[in-house]
Amino acid sequence: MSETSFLIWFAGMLIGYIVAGTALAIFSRRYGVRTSADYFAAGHRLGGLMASMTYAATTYSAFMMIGLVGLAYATGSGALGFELSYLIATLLLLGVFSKKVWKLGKEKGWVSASEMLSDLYGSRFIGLYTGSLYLVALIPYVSAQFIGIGKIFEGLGVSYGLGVAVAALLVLLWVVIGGMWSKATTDLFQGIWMISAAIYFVLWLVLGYLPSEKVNLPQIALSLTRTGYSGLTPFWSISTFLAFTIPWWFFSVTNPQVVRKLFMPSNEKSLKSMIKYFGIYGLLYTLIVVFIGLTARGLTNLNIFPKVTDRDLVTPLLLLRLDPASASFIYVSIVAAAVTTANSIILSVAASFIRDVYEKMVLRQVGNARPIKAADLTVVLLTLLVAFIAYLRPSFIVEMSVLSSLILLPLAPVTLAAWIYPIKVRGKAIKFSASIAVVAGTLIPLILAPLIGAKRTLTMSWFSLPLSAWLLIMVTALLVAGFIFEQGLASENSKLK
Amino acid sequence: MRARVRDISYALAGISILLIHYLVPYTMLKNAEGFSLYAFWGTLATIWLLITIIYLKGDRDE
Repeated sequence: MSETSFLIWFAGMLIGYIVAGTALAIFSRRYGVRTSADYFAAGHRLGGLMASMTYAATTYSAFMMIGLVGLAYATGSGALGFELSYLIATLLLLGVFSKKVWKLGKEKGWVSASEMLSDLYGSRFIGLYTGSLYLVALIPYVSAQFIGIGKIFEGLGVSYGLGVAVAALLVLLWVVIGGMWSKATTDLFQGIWMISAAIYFVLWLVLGYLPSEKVNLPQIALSLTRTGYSGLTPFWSISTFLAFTIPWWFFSVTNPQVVRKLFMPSNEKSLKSMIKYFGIYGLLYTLIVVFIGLTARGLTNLNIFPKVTDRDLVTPLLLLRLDPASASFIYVSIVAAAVTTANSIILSVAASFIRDVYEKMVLRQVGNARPIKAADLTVVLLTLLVAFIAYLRPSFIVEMSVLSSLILLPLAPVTLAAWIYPIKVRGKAIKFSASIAVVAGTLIPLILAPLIGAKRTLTMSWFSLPLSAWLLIMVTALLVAGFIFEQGLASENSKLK
Repeated sequence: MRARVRDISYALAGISILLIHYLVPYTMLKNAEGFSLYAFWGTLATIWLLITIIYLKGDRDE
């Protein structure tokens, strides 16, 4: 395809996407944003479809179309098991706990995940520590999304800096216009764009590209079998599979951008619709993305598609074979996936700051309530920080982004314990053990990463179990100790009485 | 009581599905041919999604 015609199509498609998204964001202002609960949680009034699309669009980042396609290409079918283990575990956790958490959230007016933990444990320390942890663990992850958009622009011959600037502008614009309302409406639009582009991509691959190369799916399947990519390649040793999947089992419990989504549905019916449609969306998107990666591998085996050593380039190289309009449609869907994830995380980190620091500590003393302005300012500052980091592109940031789920993993047992025993966890001993567990559990990967590297920290194993499993065991053991101690204190007290 | 049994059954079914998700590929489908491992994982996730939808549907709204 000619480079100029591609650039014209991409620019046109991107402008169309920005204009449509901005119009929707402005339209969403009619829902009204007066309090920080409106700004950060859409006033707990989201309908089922909007809630499900914002959940899906937030969860599925640019990693899907770039990273997962490449992972399937490079490591075979195991990539599907890795991604689907997340979906199965998430549906299980949502099925079991969402109703209880939604009810508690509505009753207590939570808008941030750290506020929820702080409230359940009755501990300001846990709230503040968790809020700071989100900043440390997730800012590299958001920066990686910005870097991804910058790289797309760079790959298309436009400047990297412009890509980062566009990412920052979109994140800012679609949050500041109407807070969570504008985010949810633009997520609905972007979520539809993302899944439509994925469906179009796979249809083109199967019905357009394969026939044009005179290849059919049975031939692709045969070539995958011959090279071993149809089964579990040596990359997916059981230890690596566990190391990759364990942090993702608990993503819906540990990552604030999705935990917060549980507080937003307007009623129980909306909550159930959110889970149902998210599940359908996630399954379809995952199956399509991995199928594209495996098919590309099959094409390489048949000497039709070049051998790609940098797996992040599989999608861009496939898109080179598409007409400019279609390729631009898919490229913009990747931008959308990055934007939805990035603005969700920025909004979550800002929510933690506004609710746990500004409203509880500053407002209580100053007494002048201007939470929306403070929220806007926090979002602006965080976005600028992320854009600055992304522009500098330090290598450790991309490395650290891999670790975000592992760093947040110790929050899983602490959160689940509070969801199961919301009253019991307020006991002094449990509160203390939870604080120690969270601090110790999160410091271990944070200390190991600079010493041995982020990727090794993620995949290292001890007695055949990855670090993630040991972190879960350690944090759970500390919590159980707290519960036992609390039980002892209670029986001691009753004896005294 | 019936609701509690239902919840526990759902949670146990989920844990079983997760175990199958790990055990079957690493024991029986390690050297799977064509798209059979892909189809296995896809089918298992679809079954779990359907179970979840049915479970949510059967849960009484308040």
